[in-house]
Amino acid sequence: MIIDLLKTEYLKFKKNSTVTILLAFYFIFLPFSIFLGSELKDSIPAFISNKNAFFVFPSTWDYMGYAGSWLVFFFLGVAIIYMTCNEIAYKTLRQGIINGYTRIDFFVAKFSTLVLLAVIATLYYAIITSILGYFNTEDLTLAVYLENISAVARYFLMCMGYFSLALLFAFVLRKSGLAIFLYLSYVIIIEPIIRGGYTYSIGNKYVNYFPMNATEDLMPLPLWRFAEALPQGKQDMDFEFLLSYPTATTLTIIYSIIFLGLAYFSFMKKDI
Amino acid sequence: MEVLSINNLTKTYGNVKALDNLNLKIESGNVFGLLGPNGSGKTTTLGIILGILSADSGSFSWFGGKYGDNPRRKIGSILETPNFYPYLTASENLEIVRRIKKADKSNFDDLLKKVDLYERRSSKFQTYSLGMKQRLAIASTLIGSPEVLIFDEPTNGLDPQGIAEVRSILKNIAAEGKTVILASHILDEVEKICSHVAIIRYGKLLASGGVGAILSDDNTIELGANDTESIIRFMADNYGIHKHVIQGKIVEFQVGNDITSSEVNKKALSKGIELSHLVLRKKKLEEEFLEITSK
Repeated sequence: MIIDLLKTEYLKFKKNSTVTILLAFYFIFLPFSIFLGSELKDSIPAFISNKNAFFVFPSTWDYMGYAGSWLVFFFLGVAIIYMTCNEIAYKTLRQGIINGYTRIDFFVAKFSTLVLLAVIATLYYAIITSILGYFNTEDLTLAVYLENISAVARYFLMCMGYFSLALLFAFVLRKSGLAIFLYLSYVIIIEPIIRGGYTYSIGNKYVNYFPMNATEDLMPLPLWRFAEALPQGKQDMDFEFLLSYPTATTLTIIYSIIFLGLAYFSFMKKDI
Repeated sequence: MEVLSINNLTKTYGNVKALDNLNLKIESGNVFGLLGPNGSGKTTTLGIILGILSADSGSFSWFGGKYGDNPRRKIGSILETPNFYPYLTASENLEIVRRIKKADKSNFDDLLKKVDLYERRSSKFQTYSLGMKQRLAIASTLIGSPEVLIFDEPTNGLDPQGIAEVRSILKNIAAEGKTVILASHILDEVEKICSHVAIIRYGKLLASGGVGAILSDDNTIELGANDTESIIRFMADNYGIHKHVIQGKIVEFQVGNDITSSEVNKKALSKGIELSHLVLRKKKLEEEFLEITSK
């Protein structure tokens, strides 16, 4: 039944130019972030001994994952919003229900599209990163390849974190322009401001537990890990730069379930 | 068989009462006109029975409940505007409808010929004229041979030629014996296409019955008794009136202006028929309707 829903979703959007372009951008830009890596090569801090960290196992998983996280957040998150809000704008959501979908059918169709997109994005990341690492890592062994393979799972969860926020904004706000704008600004501006206010009034404790911060910390800029490791910085800090992976994982799962649940209940209640 | 029954449906938008305790019954095979001026609650009613709006109170049931919570795959319907993916062709859009309806695979050729869009089947929906869009919407309602078809103002905004085309398609569909619900604010349209009509205004049912009875110049008498057959026989024997419309337990007859309700009541009693319902309606409905719809 889900396969059926997914096929229908595919027919709906395979010829939509906006969706096609957004997805294409992700697939084109991810391998191209290699160039970003070689650009950064000279500015890598001195304490990182391997100037090829961007390209070699195991660290390439983190660098490519970080680059990918921006592309996922931007192009794929927007595509999720677009594919949901446009059905409201074209009134095809309405017509779909009239034609025989239940609201649950419609929600499940969007949700499975989101999961499928996360799976595809993650597989693509795994393939591109494997190729990149394969050609650049000296003395490649299976152990080195697998050392940081858990990044693939974190990447998938990171996708789910962004996508569930995107779906929530799409179902609650309903207008694609507004939903896209608020989704992007929530992650880039609004949550950081809230976190700033939180730090200012309450303190540093748990400030990293905000939803998008948790999602970001699944695929953080690897340099932060080095900053954390610096001995002198650590002494006067009462918090960690980054959440640990288990914490970020747990939080992202919880937040995703909450966001998807809110999206679901908001959609089930409203007139369409 | 009862296709649709609506019971005490109420819906408000803010402090506007869009539907006010609406009751309606539609039988299988009816070509049922839902007649009322714009803003009378027609689309709200259809929206509720099609599952896209929720009522504040009241209930409705399709097909006596035999298809459960979601009978919509057995209903072909368009509401207000034709809604399709603008960047897809007619055939691609119909394929999506077919998949949602879980209907058998089809190439839609016959369907597209029926609504005269076969030549343009590979053009994108966004290139269509309003008339073509409306015709595609009608075609989409026929997918999966539904038991009931619902059209909401299908000729709205069309030019005279478009109106004529849509009406002739609707007449053909009605002639196939399908149950059709046609919401319209145009009296003439309902009169020409429908067998039954309900008139609503401000979300209230003003009258419902056979088109002849409701929209004719004659008076109408509604009679009810335990045995409807006896009423029909009584009217035929005593007044020579054979034409009637059965509405559940009530039978409607068109009668001359000389008949009074007390006289009918007396006569019925003398024949041993106890009337449980007796209403004599003057012909003012049409005048009233024309008044409220004319701008």
